[in-house]
This record gives sequence, C-alpha cells and structure tokens, in this order.
Amino acid sequence: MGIFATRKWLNATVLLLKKRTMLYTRNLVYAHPNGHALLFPDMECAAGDVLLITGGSGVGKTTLLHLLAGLLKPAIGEIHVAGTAIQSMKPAAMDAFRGKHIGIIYQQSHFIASLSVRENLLLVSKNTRLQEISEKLGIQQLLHKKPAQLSQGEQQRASITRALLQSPQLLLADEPTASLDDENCIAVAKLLAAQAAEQRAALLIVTHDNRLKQLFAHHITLS
Amino acid sequence: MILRIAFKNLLHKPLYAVLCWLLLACSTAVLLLLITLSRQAQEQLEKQIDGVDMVLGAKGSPLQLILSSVYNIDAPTGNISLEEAQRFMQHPLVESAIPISLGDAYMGYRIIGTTDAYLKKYNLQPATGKVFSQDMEVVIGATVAKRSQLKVGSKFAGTHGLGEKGHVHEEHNYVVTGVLPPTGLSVDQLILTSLQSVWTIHETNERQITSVLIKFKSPLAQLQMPRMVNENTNMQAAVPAIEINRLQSLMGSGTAVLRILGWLLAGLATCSIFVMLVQGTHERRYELALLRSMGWGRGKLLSLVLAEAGILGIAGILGGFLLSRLSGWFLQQEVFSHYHLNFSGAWKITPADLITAAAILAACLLAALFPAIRAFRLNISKTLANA
Repeated sequence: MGIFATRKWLNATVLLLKKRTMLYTRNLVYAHPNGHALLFPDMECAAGDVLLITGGSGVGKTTLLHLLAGLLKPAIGEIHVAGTAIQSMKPAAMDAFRGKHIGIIYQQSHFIASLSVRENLLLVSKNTRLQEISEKLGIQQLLHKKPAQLSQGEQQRASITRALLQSPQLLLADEPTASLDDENCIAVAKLLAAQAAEQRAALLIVTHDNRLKQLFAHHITLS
Repeated sequence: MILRIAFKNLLHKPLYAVLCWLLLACSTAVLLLLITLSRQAQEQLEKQIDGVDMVLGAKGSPLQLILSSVYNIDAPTGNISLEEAQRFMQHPLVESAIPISLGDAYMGYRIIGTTDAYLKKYNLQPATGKVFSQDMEVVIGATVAKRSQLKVGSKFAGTHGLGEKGHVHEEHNYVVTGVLPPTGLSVDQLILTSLQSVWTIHETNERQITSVLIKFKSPLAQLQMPRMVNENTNMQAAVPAIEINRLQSLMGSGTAVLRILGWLLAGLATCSIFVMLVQGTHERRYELALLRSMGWGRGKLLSLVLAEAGILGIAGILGGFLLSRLSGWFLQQEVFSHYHLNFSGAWKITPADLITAAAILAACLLAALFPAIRAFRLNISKTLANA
C-alpha cells in the first residue's frame, strides 16, 4: 500500500512538472522541399521562462518557429506544447490548437488592412482584457485607427497586444526587435518577457539580434 | 465575423466593388425587367381578348384590325356596312356581337360608338352616373376622367380623327352621364357612346361601323365562320388568338436578343468578380496566412472569399431588382399611355424572378470558387516567410 501511494505521488509530481513545461522538443528534423534536412537541438521552456534562439541567416530560425507553431510538420521528432504532442495533429485540429494555445509575433507586423486596430486585436479573442493589455502597451489611443496609420513601433506593440490577448501558453516571437533602435529593442524585449511571465506563458524568441543575448540567460544558437 | 470582414474587405477597395456591383445590378435589372414585361404583356394581351373569338372588319391587315378594335392601339382598317355585318351578327352560331364605330377622339382619347354590350363584356357598371341611353351621351373611362377633368354632367366636343388635333365638331356636344371604375384595361382610356351618336356627328345616312367583336357559341364556328367571311364577302374576319400569337412570336425574338444581352452582362459581372477576388486574395495572401496562423481553419478562409462574392451577388440582385422595378415604373407611364397596358402588378416577385436571382448568385459563387480554393490551399509558412 505504501509503495503504491509513493508511486502515485511520484507520478503526480512528474505530471505537475511536465505541466509546467510549456514547450519541449526531441530529435526534431525538418526535411526541406529542396532536399536539405535541418536538425534542431532539443529544447525545453517552462511557463514564465524565456528561451532565446539565435543564429545567422539561413540556419532555420524561422523554420523552427513555424515548426513550433504547427505551420510546418517535422519529418521526425516530437514537439510538445502545453503537454500536447502537436507533430502529428491534423490541420484542422492544429489550427484550433494554435488559436487557443499559441500566440505568434512576426517580424513584419501583419494586420487585416480593412479592419481597425481594435477589430484586428479582437479577431481571435474576446473584449475582456483588451482595455487592460492595450493600456499596458500604450496603444489604447490607437485602437480606432487603421493599421496603415500606425508607425512601425506602434504596429509592433499592437502585434504583441494581439498575441497576448489570445492568452497563449506558448508565445513565439520572430525577430521582434529587428528594426528597433537599442532603446526600443530593450524596451520591447523586457515588455514581452514581463507580459509572458505575467500570463505564465513560455516565451520563445527567434532572432539574430545579439543585443538580446545580454538580457536573457537561456539561449540556443543554431548553426 | 466572416461576413463583417468580407464586407469591410469589399469597402476597402470600393472602386472594384462598385464596378462589380453596377455590372451585376444592371444585368439583373435587364433580366428581371424582361421577365416582368413579358409576363405583364402576356397577361394584359390575354385579358383583353377574353370573350372575343373573331373580329369582323374591313379588309386589310388582320393584326391591325385586332389592334385597333380590341386593344385600341392602331388605326382601323376602314369601315364596313352595318347591314352586311348584321348577317353574321345574327348568325345562329354567334353568341354575342358588339359593334364598334371609331372616328373621333377627345384630347387623344378615342370616342367609340358601341352598345351597352361592350360594358357587359367587361362586367362594367359606371362608378358614378349611369350608362348612356340617349344620343350624344357618353360614359368615360377612369383615366379619361382623371386626366381630362371631365365628370358627370360635363359637356365636350369631339375632334375628328384619332389624334389630339383635327376638326372639332363644335356643333355637337357630348354629355358625360357616367364614369367607369379603373380596370387596368384599355377601356380606362376610352369614351363610349351609342352608335347613333357617331352617325349623327358625321351626318351620314349610310350606317357604317368599324368592326364587330364576335363571340361564338361553339369552337366549331371558329373554324367555319372566318373562312366564310374571308371567301364570300368584302369584309375581313380576324381571329385574335392567332394574331396575338403571331405578335408574341415577333416580340419573342426581340425579347430573346435582350435576354441574351442580359446574360452576357451577367457573365461580364461574374468575370469582374472573379478578377477582383483573384487579385484580392493574391494581394491579401499575408492577411489570409495571418488568419490561419491565429487559428482560423481553412474552411473559414474559404467561406471568407465566398462571402465576399455572396455579399456582392446579393447586393447586385437587390440593386437589380429595385432598378428593374423603377425602370418598369417609368416605362409603365410610356407603355400605358401608348399601348393601353397596365403594369400595376409589376412589384410582385414571381418564381421566374427567384430562379434568375438564384442563377446569378450561383454564378457569383462559382466565380469565387477558384480564388476561394486558392485561399483554402494557401501555404501559410511559405507565405509568412516571404513577407
């Protein structure tokens, strides 16, 4: 009886620990249509943590981000997001899962040009936290504008707001600071990390921007 | 949400959308107007010849005789002798015969010498006043009363001929004894009096009439009597059903050309929707990829493109319906005054209208299918990577 109880407790603890791990990958390989295979190192990121993926151009940073977002399928290997293996999910299920659990911030901010900023932000989430998050990111005055009327920095903040509004468990950011000066680069990176921590989301930043290395302890360099 | 985005996307490029909408609305309007006009013209033509199996008149064009005697449109073919006509009016195979004598008009409205049988044919009783019983008494149609301001007790003099201008018979005044209720038929634009009144005004001893509207007792007579008249007399017998069929087949070829034009316009409209959506989905491929990356399924993207075509299609059909009815209303004024036809029921939506609308909507959705499938099959990773 004592042995069984101990095993049960151990299993529960392992599950709890696994639950805290929002992202982990094992033996990830992507077969590029041109015939090249890209091998990625195993990675793990817990809720509230930041993992920086760096590397030069063409090493597969964006491919990795797309694999983690379920936009691409790996040839082999495992990707677990919030405890769910996503590598073998069907497209419809993956779309739904992504909408619920994964927020993506792109280097180039994409918006629906015909909608206002507010409408863009509410495309996949409800109104409940819009006020709070848009105030934190300082874009509440811009909500009625069309995306084309915003500056690049404002668009970036709106893009972050949209990702956060989804209340994701995994936040993926692709070169979020590429076009920012040093001051704004640090401000945006800190903002992202703070918001991810507040939401208990794992933040994975894919970048070639070496300025971020000094901010985050955990980083993997792709080569 | 899909409909809202689709609507806003259309408004985002208003020039394209308005061009497509205009083309769609015009083609729908042409097609629906043709359907309405054909239906109304057929109903009206059939309503007017109801109860007339043969028209007896002077030799000439049989269609002209029918148009002048039944529809009161064309000029009559000439006059015939009442005495000669009576041989057939009193024939045992004839159930009823209504003599008609044309010659004068008032403000362009024809004055017809006839008997009270003409009113009985349409089951008409004056709405005010009474039927003419003495010479120089008239009952007037509802439109005549409205436009000429004549009322019971009014006096007027007729103008020789069927136009508005001509010799005025000032020495003989008519008196209005009754005003007929509106019927939607050509009788609304007629002034009816006795045969004797027409003869009195023209001071003729020879009792002549223009035509006789005859109804037979049996269909057999319709086969025998026209031939009998045409072969053995100086008169002409025209069968309205045959002449109207001929008229409809003549009109039918014109209608067919217009219908082809309408469908060509609809084809052009769907092509413009196709081009707009192909271009639109290409320009907005990043937006579509973004929506997928935020969790929108492929089906939603497919629906979004189809919704844009659907909104345009429905707006075009509604615009076309309104345009067709408004053009019908303007045409009605022209058609009604010249051809004595009434299009008052034109707002009614018929199954033919619904089938046309459904065909146009289906064409719009079909035009959107290719760009929609392109959106459905969009490679989001590649698209976003190339942004």
